[in-house]
Amino acid sequence: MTNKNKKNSAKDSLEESYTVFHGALIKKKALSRRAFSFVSPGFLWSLIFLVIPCLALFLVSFASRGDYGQIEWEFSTDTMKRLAGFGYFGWSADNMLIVWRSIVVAVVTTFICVVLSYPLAFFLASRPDKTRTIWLTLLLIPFWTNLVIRTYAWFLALAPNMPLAKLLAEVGAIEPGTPLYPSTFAVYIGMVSVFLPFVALPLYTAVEKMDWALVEAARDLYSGGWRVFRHAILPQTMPGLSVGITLTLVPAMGMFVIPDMLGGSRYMLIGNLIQQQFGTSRDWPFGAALSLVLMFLTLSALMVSRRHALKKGEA
Amino acid sequence: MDLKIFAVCKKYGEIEALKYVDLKVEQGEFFTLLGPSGCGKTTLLRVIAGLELADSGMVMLGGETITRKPANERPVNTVFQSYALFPHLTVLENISFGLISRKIPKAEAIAKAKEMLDLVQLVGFDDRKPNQMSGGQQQRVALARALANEPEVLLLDEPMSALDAKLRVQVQIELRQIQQRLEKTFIMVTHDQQEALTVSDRMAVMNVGEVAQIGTVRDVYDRPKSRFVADFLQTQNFIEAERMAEHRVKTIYGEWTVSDPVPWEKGMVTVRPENMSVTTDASDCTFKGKVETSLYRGCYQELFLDNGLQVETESVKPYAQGEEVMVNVPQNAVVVLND
Repeated sequence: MTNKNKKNSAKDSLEESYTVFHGALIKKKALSRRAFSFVSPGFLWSLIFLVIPCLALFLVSFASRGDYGQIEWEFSTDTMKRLAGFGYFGWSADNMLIVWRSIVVAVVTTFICVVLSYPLAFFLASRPDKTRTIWLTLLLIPFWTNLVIRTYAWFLALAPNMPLAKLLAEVGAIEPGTPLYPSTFAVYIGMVSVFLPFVALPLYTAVEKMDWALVEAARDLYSGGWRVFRHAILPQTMPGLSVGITLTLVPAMGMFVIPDMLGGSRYMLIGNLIQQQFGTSRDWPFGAALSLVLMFLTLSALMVSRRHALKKGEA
Repeated sequence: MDLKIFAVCKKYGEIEALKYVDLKVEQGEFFTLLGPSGCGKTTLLRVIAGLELADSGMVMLGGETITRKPANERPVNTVFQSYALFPHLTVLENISFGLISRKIPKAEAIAKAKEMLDLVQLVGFDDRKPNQMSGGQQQRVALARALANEPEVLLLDEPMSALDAKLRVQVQIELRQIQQRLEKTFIMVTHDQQEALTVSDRMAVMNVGEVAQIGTVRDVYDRPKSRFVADFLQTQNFIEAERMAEHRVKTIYGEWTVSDPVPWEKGMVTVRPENMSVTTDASDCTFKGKVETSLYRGCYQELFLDNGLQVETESVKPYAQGEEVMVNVPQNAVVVLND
């Protein structure tokens, strides 16, 4: 009797330890082991190359710079003070201005990209299948070209003897014979041309999947253009839009190649400042502190869009 | 206001969706466009709604030409097949959407929306989002949203296609009751003949871009003019016939007297299975036949006879295979088709 019971319970536990995973019979333990082994390489990778460097950055930002640019492991809040604007020569708003300017450039770039992407996405989605691939390729070609080369191309396009500069000179907007760079305008042109595909492509996928019955319903219910966009198009394209905004806003905040090349020496963004600290200035602690500021900014941008997405999900 | 359609044509590339369609819908009637898929019924509805522009022809509403008026300027509203409710708005916001668009004061719009919720029996659902409701409830919201604007004509594009059979019957009755209470012009598109018969006053049966027949539902159902209409409304028995006299035809089942005048020498007549009856009286016998298959359908049974005809009879007495029955065909049941 006891023997039989034992056998039964053994059989029960055997049955319990199995589960069906997408049609395959597998031991529960094997399943969790497999899940772990799949996850661990990625986890290790981000631990070694992301989490540890971030911690290092955090530690370095509280160290101080030696006379020859080396890191001295003495706790100091100097870098933090400098972030707040207290430099060797008293308080100045320069650092704050640079951070503020970086935010403005990123936000304005994103905004311009969004405004340009909507018509572009609708244009792409409305092309017949045959020509659509061509248009998409055209949009993607610059994407495959090296950033520095593309930015150099803008030097040519914005040169004094090129049509755009000539036209502006003709109108009287600029002195004849001057190039259009370095200038804020050139920075925005460069930034928008880099980031446009990042907004346009996710938006295009969203537009392609759009249910046009909602647009028709909005029209049928006496809506004008803005109301149609606000209630029929925007909610439906929101997923693509938020992906595009995230993909633009976050890297745009740290961009340094374009402002460096097209903005000239006076056009400093936080990316350039960081590059300078780790490069010519050899002031790693301050560079690390600036990097933390940048990370804080981008993370909060991500948090905002994430929270927005969650709220949408609940609704 | 009555709605008139003159010679409306619409082409999609090579496909002619509408070929010179003429139609008149009276004020306050429930009118249905019935036809198989691809017959142009939805295109016609969209032309009336202003969601599609006719290539040629005219659409008139109460004496005013609206052919080229944009959808948001027509006093016409649509219940979409997919309902097309705004998912990010609440039920109340959805229903008041059209009123807010027209800059009607918010309090007034909300009051009207609540009145509509009452009409479609959804009181208390004000703050729900569409995805928190069942298909039937969403359909009511779509109806309320369209009716809140007090349109001259309400258009319904296959409004019940997403509902299950039982709910569909209930919604049909409610829809009819709402229409009769409001005394508004409703135009519905459907491919379901039962639905068309249940709710409408008049209907137009459409076939490949043309109106095949138009009339009251009884008229179209009882006296289909063409083979297509008869077939679409499932008359089942098609019988070849020759003309003997003005009201007399000769078929392989014998010589029949018919009510309609016979316009051809050789043609087709049709009889609905439910209009024939099995009789025991030899003097009533129009023709005899042997039962090949009998199907029990609950309240009636269907007999498939060896001569190729179908008869419906009451289901009390079961018929065995091979049993000979006498069938009575009343003179009025025979419909003479024009083609």
